[in-house]
Amino acid sequence: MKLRKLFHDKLGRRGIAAVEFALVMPVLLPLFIGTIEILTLYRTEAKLNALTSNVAQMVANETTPIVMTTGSPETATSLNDICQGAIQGLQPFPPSGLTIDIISVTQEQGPNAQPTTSPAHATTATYDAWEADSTVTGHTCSTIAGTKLGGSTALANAINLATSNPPSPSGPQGNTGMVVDPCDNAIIVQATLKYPGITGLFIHTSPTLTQTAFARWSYATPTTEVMCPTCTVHNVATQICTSSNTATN
Amino acid sequence: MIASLIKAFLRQKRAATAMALAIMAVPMIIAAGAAVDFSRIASARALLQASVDSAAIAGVGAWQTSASSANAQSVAEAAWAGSTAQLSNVVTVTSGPVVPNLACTGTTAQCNTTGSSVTYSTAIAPYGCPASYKYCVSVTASASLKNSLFAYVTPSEALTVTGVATSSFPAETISGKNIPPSPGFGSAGDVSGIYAYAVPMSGSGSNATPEYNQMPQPNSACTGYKSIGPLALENAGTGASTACNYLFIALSTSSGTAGSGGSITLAQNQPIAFSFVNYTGANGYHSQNYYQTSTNLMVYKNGSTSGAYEASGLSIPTYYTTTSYDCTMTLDQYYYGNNCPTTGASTTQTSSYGTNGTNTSCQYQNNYGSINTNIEPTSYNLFAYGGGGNTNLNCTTTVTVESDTALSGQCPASTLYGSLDPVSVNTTTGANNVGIPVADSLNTYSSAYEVLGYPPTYKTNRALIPFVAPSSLATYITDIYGNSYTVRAVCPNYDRSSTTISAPISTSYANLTGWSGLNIYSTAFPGQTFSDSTTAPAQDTSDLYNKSGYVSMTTGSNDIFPPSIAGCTPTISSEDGGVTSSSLGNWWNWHSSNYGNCGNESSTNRASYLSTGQPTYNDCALVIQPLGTSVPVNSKNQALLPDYYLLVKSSSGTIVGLDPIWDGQTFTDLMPGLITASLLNAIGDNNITVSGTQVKDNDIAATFNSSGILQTNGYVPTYSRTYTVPTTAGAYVGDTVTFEPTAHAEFSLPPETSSQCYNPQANGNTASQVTIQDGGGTSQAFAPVGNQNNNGTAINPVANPQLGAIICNSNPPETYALYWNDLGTYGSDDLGYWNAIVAFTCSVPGSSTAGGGPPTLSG
Repeated sequence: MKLRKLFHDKLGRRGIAAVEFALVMPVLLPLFIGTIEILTLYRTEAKLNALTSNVAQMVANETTPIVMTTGSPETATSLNDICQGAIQGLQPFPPSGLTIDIISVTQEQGPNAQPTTSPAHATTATYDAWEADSTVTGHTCSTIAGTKLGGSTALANAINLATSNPPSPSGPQGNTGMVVDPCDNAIIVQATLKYPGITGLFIHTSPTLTQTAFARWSYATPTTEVMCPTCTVHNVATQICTSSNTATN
Repeated sequence: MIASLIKAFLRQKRAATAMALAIMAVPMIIAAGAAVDFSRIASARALLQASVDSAAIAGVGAWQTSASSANAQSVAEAAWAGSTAQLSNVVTVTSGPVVPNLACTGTTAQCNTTGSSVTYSTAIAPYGCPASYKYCVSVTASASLKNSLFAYVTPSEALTVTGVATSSFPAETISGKNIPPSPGFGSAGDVSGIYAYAVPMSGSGSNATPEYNQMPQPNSACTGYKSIGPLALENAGTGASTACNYLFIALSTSSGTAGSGGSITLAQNQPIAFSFVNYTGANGYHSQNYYQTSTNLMVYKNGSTSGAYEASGLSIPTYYTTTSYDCTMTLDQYYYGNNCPTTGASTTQTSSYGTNGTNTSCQYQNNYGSINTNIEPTSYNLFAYGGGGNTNLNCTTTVTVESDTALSGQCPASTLYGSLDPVSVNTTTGANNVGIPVADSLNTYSSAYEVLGYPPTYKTNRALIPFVAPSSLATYITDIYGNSYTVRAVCPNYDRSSTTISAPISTSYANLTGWSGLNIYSTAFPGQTFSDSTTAPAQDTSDLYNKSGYVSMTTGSNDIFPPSIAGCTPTISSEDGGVTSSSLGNWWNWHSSNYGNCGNESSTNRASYLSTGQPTYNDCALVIQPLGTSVPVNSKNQALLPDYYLLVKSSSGTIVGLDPIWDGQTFTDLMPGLITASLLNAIGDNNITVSGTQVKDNDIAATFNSSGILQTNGYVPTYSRTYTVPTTAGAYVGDTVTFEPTAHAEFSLPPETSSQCYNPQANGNTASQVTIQDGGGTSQAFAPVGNQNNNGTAINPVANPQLGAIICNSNPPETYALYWNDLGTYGSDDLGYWNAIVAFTCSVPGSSTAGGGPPTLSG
């Protein structure tokens, strides 16, 4: 009774709001932050999805000369430029930590080529492939070594991805994938981004978002292919798909 | 009681916030849940949409490239499958395996060349595709997304998205690199090259139409005179180019040599036409020989600058000297010695027997040891009489005789001399020769021009300029009265009676070049005009000939026109009022003896200056003969030219088509039934191989060396040459088949094909009956115009490939034989004599013809 009287007489209604705030805050704050976090996460994922597709389309829409480069200064369309485009696509979210892996697979010879006297005809299909991996630090793109998607042996995983259905880095290569005829091409882009978010401030395990896009070089003709001499390249001996058969591809 | 409690509750002010929170919690949670779930839905929908878009784009791209609906489906499905891995983390795909909807408005070959069972719509509309596109792939997918906080309202969301991708028919790039040498390319005195080019298109997209009367200007990459041939002599466009926009096919001076490239890019359904570029020269281009003429002279007397034209030549009184030899000899003076001077065109000789009073004697040579004094000696041996000092000879007598001498002048020996040289650099001296008359002319033929009913020449000779030979070629002579004559030939050497040579294109130009009396003749090309409204002589408006333009010409009385080369030439010449004579001159070399019966044209269809019986243009300078898609190849994958043809005519005489035959080769009969069902049975000639079943008797197959050069000719049919197709021959029952003999050489095209070019009716056909085989083996009526030549009215060039253009859209690709005649040799301006034959194998979009090497083009 004394305590009640004390509250009633001395404090009256003072502190009620604080008490109620203290009671409500554990409920509302996680709800508020969680909502934002989830919305941001999905927004980031959507952005990543879009930029992945956009990167694939940027490569796929590349026109003559079909030569990509990682060099600087650029003498041809630079994959670095495409990476910068991806950064722009991710805004306003911070791009640091974003990685973009691009592979291109082109069939040079294959069993579908007719007539069988055609130099494009071969019982066993052969493929050119290249891979370019980039990572973003701050807002700077840089090429990273390795063949994350393509695998270590002659970009076999990349070729498997392009020629199997469903695409799988372990294959098997077949005639039902995206690349079934000589000079057909597949461009596969995989982008990954570790999402720190607000919870990243105190939670060390952040989700990693990964998106993969499949595209096909839009300007493919019977005599050309998209090339990237400065990328990690696997070329076969018999080159069919370059118009001059002289380019390094 | 309850009412009082409610009233008390409402009066109570304590814990109002908690109460409000409790009340608001529900909508707040719902709102937060909705925000989260809507965000998830949006993200999932975007991901799903990206997946179907990716699948549709990949599918339509594969379709565009491969022309295979099966490829379109499989690639779209593969791309979709690639996305499902990440989709499964977000949504549950409920639509099952994606089967894309396909639509294609092209031909069967363009939409589905592989014979796949995959079906497609031939209309674009059902899938919401823009009608202007040709390929359309529509991918629809459905997925279910479980809601989270919103799940108590809606457990899951059903998402359905559709991606539609479209494309036009693809551009096709054909490269001339590594084109194999042509086994059949001929060679004449001229330098000739065959090129392919993309017929320029007007408009864009599906509304683009070919402009058959246009040829693209060679770009700056079309250089390399020796390697690419006379195309390099054309005026090239400015700006950097990486590849010549003409596809090099063959060059007459390097038969068997691979081409040097070139690249043409074709939009879908953009035709390919062929250009034959001919650089004239009787003994090779830039001939330095000269031709002596005693007619059509300009004679300048006693230094006058005003010459007199002597159409029939001129003789002047002159002297000549005669030297007589009057030698005697004695019979006993028999020695061998020096010859009497018996040679010399203007000398005569006499002789007598006996001592001539000197110490010199001549011996009758033909009667050594047995002298017959009654025989006039024809030659003498002169000797110095030994002993007695008889060593001097003086037995000649010189007399002078008056006579007449015919004046003569010189013209350069090359055909079509006097054309302006468009070459910017003299290949010998390196000097800039633009606009300078040269000994040769450049003739550019376009196969596409024939589709307009015109002869195939696109440009010929540039400006032809009859001229008076320069002083460097003049001859000088003096008559017995002391008059001096400077004689310069009128070149070309034709009768220019009733005309004058008084219209130099400019005085400074004449002075600059050294050629006087220059006058302009230019050909009028279809679609181009020339000015003939004045009587003034043709003159260029500038001092120097504008090499990039075409000189206007007049029909004024002072103008000079070349002989009636329009008779059977590939050009439509301007009229000259009938002042020129026939074409049987040394210069123009056109002849009416071809198979086209061009000498029987009515007056309404020949150039008006031609008299009745003189020819009008009716030649067939080229034929593009379809050979089908199963042409035998040699070890280098070069398409072989047919050894001969079966000429198929209907009962009315209409040429139905030509069925090519290769000796001893395996091929598929282009006109099924003629060979397999008819030939063997009808005439018993089984020396032909069809579809791998070779039945032969005394066949000697044509053979080629490793360079593709013909080594031995093939079989010549030995049986009856004509037969009527029996009832077992299907579509050609009742037609007449004729073995076409080889003419001047193996590979010749039947001369009747020349009749198809311009004037079917003149060859005994009713115009409406005349059909011309198209690339697919069927026939199409040849459009008659005025019951005569097909002049000026376009026909379907692709359906009549003999006349002009082809579209490479078949798979396997079609091969065509190109037969060319440059019309440049007297009496040979028909296709019975060819000077260039080459095979051209198409490339088609798609997998089956990937690559720019031998499978793309072969010759």
